Amino acid sequence: MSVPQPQFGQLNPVLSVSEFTALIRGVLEDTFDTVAVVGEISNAKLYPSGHWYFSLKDKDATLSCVCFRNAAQHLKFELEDGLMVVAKGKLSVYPPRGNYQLVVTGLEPVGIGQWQLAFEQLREKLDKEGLLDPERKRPIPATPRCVGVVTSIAGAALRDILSVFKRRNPGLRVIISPSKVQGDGSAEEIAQAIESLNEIAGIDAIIIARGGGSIEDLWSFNTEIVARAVAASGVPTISGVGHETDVTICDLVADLRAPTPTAAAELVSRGHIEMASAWSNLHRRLLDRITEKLSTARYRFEKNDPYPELLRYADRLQHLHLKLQNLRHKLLTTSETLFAASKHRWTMAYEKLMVLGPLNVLQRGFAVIRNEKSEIITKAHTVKEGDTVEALLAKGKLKLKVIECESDWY
Amino acid sequence: MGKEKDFESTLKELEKIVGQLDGEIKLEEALELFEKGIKLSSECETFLNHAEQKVELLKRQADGSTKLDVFVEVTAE
Repeated sequence: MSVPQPQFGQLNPVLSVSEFTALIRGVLEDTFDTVAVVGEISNAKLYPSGHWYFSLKDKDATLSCVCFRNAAQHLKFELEDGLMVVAKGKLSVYPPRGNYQLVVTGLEPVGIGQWQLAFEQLREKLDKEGLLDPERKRPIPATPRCVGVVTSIAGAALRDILSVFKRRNPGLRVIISPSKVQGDGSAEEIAQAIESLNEIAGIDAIIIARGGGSIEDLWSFNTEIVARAVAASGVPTISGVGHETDVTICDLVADLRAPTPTAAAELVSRGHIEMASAWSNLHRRLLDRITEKLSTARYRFEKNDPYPELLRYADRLQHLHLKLQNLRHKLLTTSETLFAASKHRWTMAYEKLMVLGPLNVLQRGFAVIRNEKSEIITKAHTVKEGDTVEALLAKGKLKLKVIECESDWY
Repeated sequence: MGKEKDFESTLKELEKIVGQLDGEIKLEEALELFEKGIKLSSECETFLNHAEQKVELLKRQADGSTKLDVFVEVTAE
């Protein structure tokens, strides 16, 4: 660099400090309007005003730098001592102190992507605070009744989630807390949406979701404000952001990480599906057991004198039969939709019951006789001549008048 | 099934009844248990099958309070 040549002629006038500094300032600021300097950060300090002050240094030299708030707010990562960076900016002279510094307009880490660096920095910070500890993870309720969803109202993630719930968990109440999921202000909106859901009573779990995208698209889920809102949620959280291969800070802080929005909805529905299948099993066992008991009973009836004993149950069995017929109809509908496999067993059990029930006996020509109080008559002396009784046949019933009572017929 | 009585406890009751049916009991008792069981089972079935999805949209109002609206699905853009 050439030394500036004074242009004041031969008098070699004496300059004031201000005059001289103004000259230096003009030369330096004009010459180094845009420079890029590589070096290691030291003495980095963030002031409450939002300006970063630091030095860039190498083995033999040090350069004072400042990154004002306007530029600093676009930085993804935190400035740390020891970090190698390329700083872009312009040189500026500060006359009151007689020094110069680089006013930084852009910073890029060397050897690591700025996104990755920012991710690692935040992860480390949260980890130190214990926010990523496995012991912090709360269980998601097995059969939640009400789930909050933080996502974009028009996004694919919401459609995927609602479609899973519709199919797997139709009784679930869903509360959508809408939020931008990318771009300026989205991180703040996501955090706010999580907080809003925490104000509503009765929510069992919160899903935070977004479909796949580039690292820039997913960035809001790697911000500290979102991480802190997730950590502060009083309701257990499930994070389903991006594709399977994307891991965000939000995923790490949440109580449960789902690889995708769809998977998040499935995890929430898992308990419900297990319950449904537990019910299906119990229902089948119930039918199997009663079929077994009836079959044993029939064997006993046939060995002994069956009719008085059978008649004791006739009314009851007929009532049960009607009920079962009704239930069978309803349950077949459920079976078809929920558990196609159990349908066959159910039908078989029903048919078995039909064979064992009173209808089959009546089919053979027997009748059930009841008095006017609907009590079953098994002994002739319990009615008088002239009483009206009712005979239940396999199909239909008769109203009969008693003409004669005899205590024996055989 | 009432909202307060949760599905899980109904299922547990049903499980108990089915367990009792496994034991050596009289036909009379078995029928009674079966009737109880069928009642519980159909309660479960109603819960599983007839529940209707309710989707709401949370809105924050100007005064800072929250409000729930019925959600109308936005069709694909």
